[in-house]
Amino acid sequence: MLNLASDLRSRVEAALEHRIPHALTPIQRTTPELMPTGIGSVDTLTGGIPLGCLTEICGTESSGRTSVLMAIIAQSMRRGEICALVDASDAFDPQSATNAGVELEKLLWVRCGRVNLDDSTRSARIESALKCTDLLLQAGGFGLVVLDLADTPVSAARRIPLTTWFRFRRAVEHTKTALVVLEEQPHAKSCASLVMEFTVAQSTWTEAAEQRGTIIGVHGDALEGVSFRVTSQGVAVPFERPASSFETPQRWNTPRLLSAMHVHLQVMRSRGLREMQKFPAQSERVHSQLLSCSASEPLAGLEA
Amino acid sequence: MFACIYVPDFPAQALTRVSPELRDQAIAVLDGTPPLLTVIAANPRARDMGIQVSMTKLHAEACAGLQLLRRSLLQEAAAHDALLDSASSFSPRVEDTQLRTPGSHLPGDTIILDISGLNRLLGSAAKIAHEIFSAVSKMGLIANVAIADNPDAAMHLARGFLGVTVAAPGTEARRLATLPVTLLGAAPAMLETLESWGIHDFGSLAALPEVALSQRLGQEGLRLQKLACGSTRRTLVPAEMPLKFEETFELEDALELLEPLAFLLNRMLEQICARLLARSLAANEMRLALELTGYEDQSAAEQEARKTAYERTFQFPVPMQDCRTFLKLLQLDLAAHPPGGPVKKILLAAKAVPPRFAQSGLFLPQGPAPERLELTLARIRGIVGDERVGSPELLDTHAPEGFRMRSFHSNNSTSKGAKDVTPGSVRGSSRTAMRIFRPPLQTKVQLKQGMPSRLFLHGQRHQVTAAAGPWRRSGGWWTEHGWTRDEWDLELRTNETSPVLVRVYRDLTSAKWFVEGSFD
Repeated sequence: MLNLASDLRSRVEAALEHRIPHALTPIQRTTPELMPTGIGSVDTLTGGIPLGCLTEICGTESSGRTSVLMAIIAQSMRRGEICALVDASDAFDPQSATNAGVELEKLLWVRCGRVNLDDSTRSARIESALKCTDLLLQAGGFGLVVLDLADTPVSAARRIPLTTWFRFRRAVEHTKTALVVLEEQPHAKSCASLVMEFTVAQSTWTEAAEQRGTIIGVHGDALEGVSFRVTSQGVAVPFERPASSFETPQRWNTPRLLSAMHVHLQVMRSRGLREMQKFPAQSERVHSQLLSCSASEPLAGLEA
Repeated sequence: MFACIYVPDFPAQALTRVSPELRDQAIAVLDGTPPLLTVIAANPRARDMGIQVSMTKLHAEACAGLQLLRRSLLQEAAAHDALLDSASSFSPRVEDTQLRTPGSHLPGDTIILDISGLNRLLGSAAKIAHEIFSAVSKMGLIANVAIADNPDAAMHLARGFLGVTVAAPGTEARRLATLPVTLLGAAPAMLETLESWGIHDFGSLAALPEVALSQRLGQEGLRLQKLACGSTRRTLVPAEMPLKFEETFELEDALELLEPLAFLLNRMLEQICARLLARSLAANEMRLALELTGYEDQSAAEQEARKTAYERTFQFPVPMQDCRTFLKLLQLDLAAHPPGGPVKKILLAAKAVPPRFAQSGLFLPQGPAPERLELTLARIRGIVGDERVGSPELLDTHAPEGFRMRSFHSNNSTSKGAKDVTPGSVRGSSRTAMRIFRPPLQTKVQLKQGMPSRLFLHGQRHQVTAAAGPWRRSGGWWTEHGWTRDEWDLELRTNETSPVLVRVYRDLTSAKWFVEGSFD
């Protein structure tokens, strides 16, 4: 009986071969190659960013999603890849990206718009961002294409048709390009192979003296605590009252610095990934783990 | 062995080269000072209708269906350059007959090239001749090609016989015998004398006794006889050809739409690309210059007053040879920056460079194809604007927004290979990403004992639960764009939402508070 069925199936397939190849044979899904994010804890949970798939990184403001994205871009560039960032709200900061290890000459930055726009202009900007993403995916050759919709209101992002996400998924399928979408809430539904959601836990503020990585210059009497904060953006001087000039630093008023952001990561979806067997459910499970993203040494403790 | 390429009715073929549809019509080319315009060239269809060189415009207009065109020296120069390019693809020793004619400023229609040794590459002389004929055809010119043992014989054969002619060594005199003596290029008085003697062809002139001819016509007579015999011996004078790849098109009627303009640009690009390929070169820069005029409904004076020049220069990250890529880039740029009026004249010039050598590493990731990437970037520029696509480059300044956009080149990025940049390697820098608000959001801040306690943003009141600062940053006070401000890092909370970390600053010149961005 079994032989008869398989014989019949092969005959039907042979008859339909010129119109529908392998009509009755299910398509073998290949496990996508994973690219590590460079953050040990995230890689432990997810296995990395799947290539040839759509990944969503979600979270509210200050949830660490952009820091994770920068780590992913830097990791991709370390592999020699060229990355593209479609910035729907023109919020990318080249300085902090460089600090995160991003090589700017390997980054194609498409600036689509501003944050404080009215609805009609905003939807036009989103449309532009989607068009640009489409063009970049069609061009091919990029290791990572990022669509940054993080500052786009949920109501506006929700209006993006599902067909768009489906088209994006098909565009990167069977390629070495990873498509990452940064947004507040997941919208791509089943088109996304991996959905990570970050939530704010707490921020840590430490004493200035502990921030050796940040404060490198001491001007005047160190015992008095007069210090510079030397950042790559310039030299900032803590002071008590408005100083008359840059050259005369004043006494430290608030000996505190923002040192760490603690966030939670939830893996909302990990469909078709190699690490799927780590999760009890077959397709989608929610996992969470406390991650710590430090301001000066972020994610260092998380690296494997 | 020498080959000669001769383009009959050169002024007419120079015009039909960029407008191939004219080949199916009877056309005559006029030159002179109006109203004394005369026909200087006509294509075979026009000749079938009875059109002859030196006919006046009035006579030519009497032929129904004949299209009369003005001579274009620019297009003739471009056709001449194309002829030289195709000849150069066969031999480095190419003689430009235009340069041999003293006082001539007109582009020549005849090119002679030394093909010695080419038989080892291409085979027999007939095969070489056909190859040359085919190469010239690709340039849009229908030429006569002749091969002979000496340059002058080859030139006369090319000028006298249609298509491909090959004269084996020793048979030149026999092949030349039937040609008219007018092809010798002698002075009119000399031709008149020969005519009065009943000498009409090369064969008759070659048969005259040398001594008697010398007594009557002198050394010039002997020179002409040697030419008629095909027995002259001279060295070729190779021309030094500048690498100039320009195509010009002068329109009878101005074009107002981009689509027909793109149609013409396509033809010009095809010619330029064919010439680049013939010289094994590519272009890394293209210049488009348009001469704009007034609209049809305007008077001649108004049209003259509105005559302006429009110029665009395109830099390509890699040398390219693909005509379709060039055309698409031109189309996208013209759509983004349309010319301000009807187009009367088009000039397209390519800067030639050696083609690129793609030799990337075996194990390096394949980047985007440069041609395709350039097209994609051009399309994206059309959507978001010219200055909003590229790679950011940090400037040597401490000013806020201290970066600039530069064009993105995939070859530059890939050639450097993977660079080992350790995150946070910049000394004293923070690795937490910031999201910048462009422009900064103006806000109101309530201070309590000199520290921010409340912040109003987007119509909402936020409680400051933690703060660090202020940090003073200033600079550029010696310029108009100086900045001086006090920065704070704040943690904001409202009842409903999760805490938000922002960087705010107080501009000391305006005493206003702004939110620069958020930590994310």
